[in-house]
Amino acid sequence: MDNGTPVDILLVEDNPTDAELVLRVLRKSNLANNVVWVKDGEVALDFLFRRGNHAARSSSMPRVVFLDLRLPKVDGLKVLQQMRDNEHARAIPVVVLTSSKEESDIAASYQLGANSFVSKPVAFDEFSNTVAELGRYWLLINKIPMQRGIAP
Amino acid sequence: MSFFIPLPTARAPRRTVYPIVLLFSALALVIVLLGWGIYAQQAHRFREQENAKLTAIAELKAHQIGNWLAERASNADVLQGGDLQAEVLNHWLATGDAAAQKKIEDHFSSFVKAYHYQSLVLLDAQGAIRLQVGEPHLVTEELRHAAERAWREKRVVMTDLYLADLQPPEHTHLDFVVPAIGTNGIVLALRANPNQFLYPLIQSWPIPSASAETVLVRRDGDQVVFLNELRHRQGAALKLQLPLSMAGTLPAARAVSAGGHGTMEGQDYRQAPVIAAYHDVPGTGWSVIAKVDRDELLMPLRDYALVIVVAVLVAIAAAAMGMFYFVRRNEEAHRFALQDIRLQDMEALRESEERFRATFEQAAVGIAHVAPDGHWTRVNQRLCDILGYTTDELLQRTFQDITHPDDLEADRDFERQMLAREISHYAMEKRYFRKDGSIVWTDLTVSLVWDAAGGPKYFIWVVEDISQRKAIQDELDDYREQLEKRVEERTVQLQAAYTDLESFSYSVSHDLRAPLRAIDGFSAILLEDYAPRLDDEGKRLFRVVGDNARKMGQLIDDILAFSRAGRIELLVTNLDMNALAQEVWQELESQRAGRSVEFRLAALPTAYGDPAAIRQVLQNFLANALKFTRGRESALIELGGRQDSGESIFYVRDNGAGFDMDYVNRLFGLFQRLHGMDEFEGTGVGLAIVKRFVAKHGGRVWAEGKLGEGATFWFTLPPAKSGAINKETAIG
Repeated sequence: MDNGTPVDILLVEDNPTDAELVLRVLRKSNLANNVVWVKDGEVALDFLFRRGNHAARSSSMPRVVFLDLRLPKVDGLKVLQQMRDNEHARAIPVVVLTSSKEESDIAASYQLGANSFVSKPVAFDEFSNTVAELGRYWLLINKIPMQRGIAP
Repeated sequence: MSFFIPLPTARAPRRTVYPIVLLFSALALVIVLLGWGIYAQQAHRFREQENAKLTAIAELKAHQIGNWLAERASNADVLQGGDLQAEVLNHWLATGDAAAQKKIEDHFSSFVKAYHYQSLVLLDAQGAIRLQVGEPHLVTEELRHAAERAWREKRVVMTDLYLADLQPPEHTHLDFVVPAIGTNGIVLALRANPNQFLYPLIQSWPIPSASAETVLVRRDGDQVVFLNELRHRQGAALKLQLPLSMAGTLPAARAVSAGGHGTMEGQDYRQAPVIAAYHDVPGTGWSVIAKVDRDELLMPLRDYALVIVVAVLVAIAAAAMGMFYFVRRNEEAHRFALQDIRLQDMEALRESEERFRATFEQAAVGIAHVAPDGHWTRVNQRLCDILGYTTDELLQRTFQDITHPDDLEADRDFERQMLAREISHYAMEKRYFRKDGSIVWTDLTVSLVWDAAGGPKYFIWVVEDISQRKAIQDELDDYREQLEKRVEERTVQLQAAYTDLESFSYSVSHDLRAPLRAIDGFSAILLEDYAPRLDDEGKRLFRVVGDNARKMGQLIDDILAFSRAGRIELLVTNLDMNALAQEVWQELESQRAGRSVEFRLAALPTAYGDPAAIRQVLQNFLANALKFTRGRESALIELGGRQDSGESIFYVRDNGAGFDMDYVNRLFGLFQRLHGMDEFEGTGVGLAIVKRFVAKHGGRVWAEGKLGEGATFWFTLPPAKSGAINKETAIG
């Protein structure tokens, strides 16, 4: 994982089956070469802020973060908030990818600076289309500033 | 203390004779005046009628006389002139031819007879009689003058009435002289006898009368001459003359001196009072007087006056009797009434005092009189019972002695205000110490009686024992407190439950979906990756797994939507329902793609509600209608409404599958479905959500339907408020 390859997507997802489905879709659609999957908010923040197990990470910042909201240890909204408070992580696009359709979650996410809010469909065909669409947009269409922060 | 009720002061029956006499006199005067008025009016009318009669008679006679004279003159005119007659006359006068004389005599004779003349003479220029027909004729001075005038004026000339014969029997004469034109001064003199026609005409009277007569007169110098024979004096014709100076009283004198016509009251030639009318005879100097003795004429009026007098007297007598009777009856009634009142007064006073004593003593509340210094001056038994003292014990104390100290100041305060006349009475709740030391709660109402000098006399206290009420109130207060505490506890519990529910539904939305996604996802992956190893039945079974996972996902979504519908806070505003319906119908386009659906949108009433919620309501109803008309070749969906008694009523009608009215009650229940899953998909939440939203707006929903023929869904909403600003209507 920490081999210096540029990270395309940081997937923060505690549910392994959901994670597997996302990864499968991304893989099948040949969109992401390097997807990093972490299972809770704490690890996600460690990765982003290069601390804990990830203190020695040499890879660049991810092009986009797919962030679930219900996470063990540090909640998704907390992760988002800390990212936006951090000058290195502030500019990273965050897509909230969650099962929730709650108005309160949508509002809170945007309030904290989410770039997008996507509800995970239950039906698998819809789900695949949605994830593929996200990958295409954020990795192929969307432009982000040149990498700053810690050099590889 | 004495209580008394003012008695009506006893009055002596007043002698009311004086005013009654006055009243009677006035009444009698009125009756007399009335009688006199009627008489005067009748008399005036009667006199006018009689005058008119006399005037008519005088006028008639004057005209008849005038006509008679004119007729005479025109008859005579026939004899005048004519060449043949002149020729015959001249021939006879010249020759004395007997045949000619005979012819002339015959002619004249027939004329005299035909026209009722007395005689005819032929006079020559010297006034000598040359020929005579009829009675012997005397040539008078009057005739000679008339002959001269006739020749001079060449026309028929009439003499006045005159006495022709100088010896008795005297005859009055009237001559008409005709000049025979073409002869040498010959005139023909025709003599008429007034007795034959003129006098009878004058003397006749149209109705029987004892005194009435007509008189013909003419003026002669300063005298008036009576021309005809009079009724009341013999031989007066042309002989009776009276001076014109009597014109003031004598109708004959008035007639010739005044001329023309008129009526008057005066005295006739006999000095008898008469009423007369006069009229001149045209073409002569004569006047006709029609007169009746006043006594005769006014006889009916006297009778009438007598009747009136009798009637007036009878009326006055009746008035007197009536008045006497009225006074008598009044006095009697008054006497009886007075007796009655005295008895009643005494009875009333006795009853009143008895009633007061009973009220005071037996009242269910304590009553007391209290002196300004606070001493009880009069107390009833009930008050003694309330306070636990005997009457005598109370009368030795002041109210201050037994008042609870906490209530004393407030009581004294009210008392001061009342003595200063700031308030007229007061009421308060206060406590007393009973004789046994216990406390009694009372409701006190106090008013003040003032003496005649304007000073305070005594207080009236009404004291009610409210200890029991107080106890109940205390108990109630306790209950209320407990209740409030319990409600508070419950509220906390409910709040907790609500929070639990919130987190539960959050969990549902979040966590229940993930496994479903896994089931659907992995069965899909299985189908994709292991397809070659599965037979058709195996593939079908995995598809069933996937389908059900998705269905469960839909169910979860619908439950959450339903839960949200209950929790959502409404943001209400005025709604343009037509615009909203149009929008919703547009959004449903995908659901009716490829179908023939007619949408009839009527003019909808306005509504007052949350735009998002009502949009959801319309969406559910219309989507339902689309779903259940799917089998129809030409579907018809109607949306209409009306305003009715303070609410807006809407309906959505379709010609779809409909439903059995037996199950109408289940229609709006959660998860209730009236059709099989294989017929129409759905979770049975849509209408439950609709009901929730409408109910939250204070509205109602109901439905009518028939299986296979369609359904109508009704819902009501509050109408738009006039004060609220509506975005849609502001733009539209």
